[in-house]
Amino acid sequence: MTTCKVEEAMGGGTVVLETVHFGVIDVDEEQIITIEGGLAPFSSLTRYVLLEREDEAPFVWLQSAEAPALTFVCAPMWALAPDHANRVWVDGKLEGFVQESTEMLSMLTLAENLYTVTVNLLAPVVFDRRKRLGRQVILDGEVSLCRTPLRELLQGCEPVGTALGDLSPISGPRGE
Amino acid sequence: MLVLTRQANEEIVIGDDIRITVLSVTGGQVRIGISAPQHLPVHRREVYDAICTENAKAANASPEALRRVLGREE
Repeated sequence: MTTCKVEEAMGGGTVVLETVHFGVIDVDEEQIITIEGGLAPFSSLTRYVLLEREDEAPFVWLQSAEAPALTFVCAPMWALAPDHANRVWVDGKLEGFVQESTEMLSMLTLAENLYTVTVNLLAPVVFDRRKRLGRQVILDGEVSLCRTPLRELLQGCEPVGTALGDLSPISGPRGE
Repeated sequence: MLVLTRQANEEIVIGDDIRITVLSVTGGQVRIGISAPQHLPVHRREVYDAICTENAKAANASPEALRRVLGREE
């Protein structure tokens, strides 16, 4: 895998990341999150930035700061599966993360259309933006949870486009 | 592969800070306790494999693919 070219830009604190999908982007060094243990099988790559782009909410991109081509599309677990997220929250299965400042992102596996997309509810990426530290946490549950069809989560949401537009913000239990 | 024989409540140490304890052996099942530093993820093999596979598939994401999925293709 090629290495991302990171240049220290003038003014300090800003790094220039070359990415395959988003072009060359300036990132505040403080926005770089270290994901401990990486995202297997890309375990050696641990530095990521979160890209939130216009018109794509609630979807965000977890872009490697080290591998230009490596990017994951995610959505807050609160938005896609609030009941599941709440259960995780209540059960305290976040392995030492301080819950109040923890965000939980579920990674999506894209497919031909919205109805064949799957969501990884088994292993969310949890991170603390202030500490700039995160980890992919594997929760208790059936292995099949890592391939939960998006359509199951959107059942009852019609039309889908509207439902996605109404999804909740990136972190925190609803109503808190 | 190193092969060791252990009984319930006996341990194996890997390096300075990884301890594996055989908690109980009943029927065909072994209960194992693992204590390791937090930065070392410990998982059941089949779960780890599934996550690896899914992460690798998810890594094929692109803004174009997301637009297609959302029906916003031009």
